[in-house]
Amino acid sequence: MLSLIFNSGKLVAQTVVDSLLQVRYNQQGDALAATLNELSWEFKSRQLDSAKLFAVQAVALSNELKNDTLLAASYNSLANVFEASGALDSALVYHEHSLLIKSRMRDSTGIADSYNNLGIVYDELGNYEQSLRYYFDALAIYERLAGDWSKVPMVLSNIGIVYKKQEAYDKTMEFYTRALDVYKQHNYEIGIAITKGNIGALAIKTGDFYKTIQYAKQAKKLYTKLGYLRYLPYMTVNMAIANDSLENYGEASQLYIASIAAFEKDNNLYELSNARISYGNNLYTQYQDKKAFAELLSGLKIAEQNDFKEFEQKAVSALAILYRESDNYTKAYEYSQREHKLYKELFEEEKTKSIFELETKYQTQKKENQILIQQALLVQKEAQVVRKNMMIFGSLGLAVILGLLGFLIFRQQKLKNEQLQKEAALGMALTKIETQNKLQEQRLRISRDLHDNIGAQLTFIISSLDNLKYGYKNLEKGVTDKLSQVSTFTGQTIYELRDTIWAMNKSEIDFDDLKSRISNFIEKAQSAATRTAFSFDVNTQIKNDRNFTSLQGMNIYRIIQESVNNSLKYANAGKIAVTISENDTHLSFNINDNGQGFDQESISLGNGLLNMKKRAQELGGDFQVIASLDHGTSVRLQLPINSLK
Amino acid sequence: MTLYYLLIFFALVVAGVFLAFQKRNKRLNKAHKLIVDSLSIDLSLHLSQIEFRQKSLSAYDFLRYNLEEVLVVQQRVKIK
Repeated sequence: MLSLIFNSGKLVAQTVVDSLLQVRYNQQGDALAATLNELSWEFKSRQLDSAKLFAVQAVALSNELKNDTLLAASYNSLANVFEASGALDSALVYHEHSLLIKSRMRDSTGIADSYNNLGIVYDELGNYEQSLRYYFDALAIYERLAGDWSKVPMVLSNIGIVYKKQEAYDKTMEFYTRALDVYKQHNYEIGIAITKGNIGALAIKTGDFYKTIQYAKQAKKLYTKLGYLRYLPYMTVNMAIANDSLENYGEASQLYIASIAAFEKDNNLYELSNARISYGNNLYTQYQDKKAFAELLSGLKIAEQNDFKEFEQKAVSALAILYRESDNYTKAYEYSQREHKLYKELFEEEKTKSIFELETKYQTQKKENQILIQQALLVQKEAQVVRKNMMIFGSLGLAVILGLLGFLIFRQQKLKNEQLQKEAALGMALTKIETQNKLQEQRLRISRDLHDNIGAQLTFIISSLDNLKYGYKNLEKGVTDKLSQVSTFTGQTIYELRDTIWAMNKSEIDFDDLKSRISNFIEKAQSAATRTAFSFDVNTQIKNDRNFTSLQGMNIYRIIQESVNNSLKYANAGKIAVTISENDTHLSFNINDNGQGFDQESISLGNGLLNMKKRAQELGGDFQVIASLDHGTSVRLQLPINSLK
Repeated sequence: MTLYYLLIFFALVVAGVFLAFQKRNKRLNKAHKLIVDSLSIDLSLHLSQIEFRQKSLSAYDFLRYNLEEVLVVQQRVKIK
């Protein structure tokens, strides 16, 4: 019935096909793939080869485009082509492909469509159990989704058809009724008309002939209203069969005549053959044997010409009875023999069909098992890929975490090292400065002790000697001179002691300091010896930033002091000159006088000169005394610059 | 979905490790600062003492021999 509805739109479809064929040349990509699918659908009922070609092209293009939606649709198209060509196993495989893609895409409507398509194929294969399973799965999804409501009654009707084939008429009625309710709910009249027609036809099988008449009438009315006049004779013939069964032969005759006329007009030979044979039986029941013969023979002729075996057998059987009733036993025997032969043929055909169905069932089961194995393998492979990916990502993540940990530990260790270095440097500096401070403190204590004890005692000695000199006026001159000499010596010792204390408390002595000290000493000497002219010259090229250690400064100062003292004491010099000069390698100190000098060969060196030599050695320098009688004395100290601080 | 949770877990682990190290570094810096501050204070105390002493010694006029004024006991530094 549904196929008939589609046939009515053939003209419209032709226009669509032409348009699609034209438009595909200007298309590419997704649009072209969609058009190829539509073309496959359109050609499925006309030219299967073209339909297959379009579907194959659509699959290839969708694969190339990596568009899963189009690929699923293309596999669906290919499956439809195989279904139409009777290659139901291939149809199953491609429907499964389509289902797999849609499942991966989580396309619920698409999954339900695939289930419905698989249900149809399994129905055609005679595997009703599997067919129903798919139909029910599709129904559950369609009912859950609030999308296209029309798919719910469609599946309900399909389920009804399967039950009808299994002769489960109650179940069939239940699902047809549910489909009808849905159509009514949405006031979808063509759906209502078709379903009512189906219910009417089903009621013939259940023997509810009044229901057949009722529903067929209602369907006929709706078809008439909607303009689907080609379907009216189906309803008419159903009503005729129902009336015939209810023994309303007259009314049944009228209805048969009307339906025969309509089928003749539509050139629907299959239904015409059936209607004529049924009408012939009706006429036989009404004892109109002549007319009955004519209708039965007419129906038989159409059946024979078109190889409608079941109608041929029906007609021959009726004719055999009719000839027997007419006492024409020869003909009756002849038709009986034909009936028997046809029965055998039909039986063989049915048997072959059963065997084919069994074979198909076996093949289907085998294919299902293969599909299941493939699906299991696919799932296993997918799981392996997922596991592999997880392993890769896990390893990467672990590597990143370990790398981060390494980097953070390295950074922390670096920070710790830097901190420890800084702390150690500070600690060392502190230790050094503590030692320096301690040393200075020790020096100060020693200095204080020297000053307070030895200095005080020396001062006491001087004071005692002065008291002795002035207390005892009548002392011999020799004693007084000796006392004065001891007093002067002690005073000198105090000076030297103080100088030592000064040097001790200086960690270093700069050149200016030394210069100032020497200058002070010369001024003092000048004030003590007014007849002698002193001079103190420092070469301007000497760097003022030159520093000496306290020991170096002390030794240089002592050598100069001793030399000047010697000149004053022994040389009777009129002029004493102290000069300091520098060249690239040496710093030189010269003390010259113009006094009486001495003969270096005949005079042995005293303590003073020996001390100066010793000090010069400590300084790492060169010490020379150049003297001759009446030509003055020169003392020269040369210090290598690199030995100075 | 599992990958999504794994990513979240991974991000949390990375953030956790990073934060733990940051916290530890902060603690180390704090302890280091305390040590450095303490050492710096000691150092500056010694330096100021030496500076004070040197200044006093430099100012000492040897010609007047008033050593007593210079050689004062240094109360601020404790020599170990």
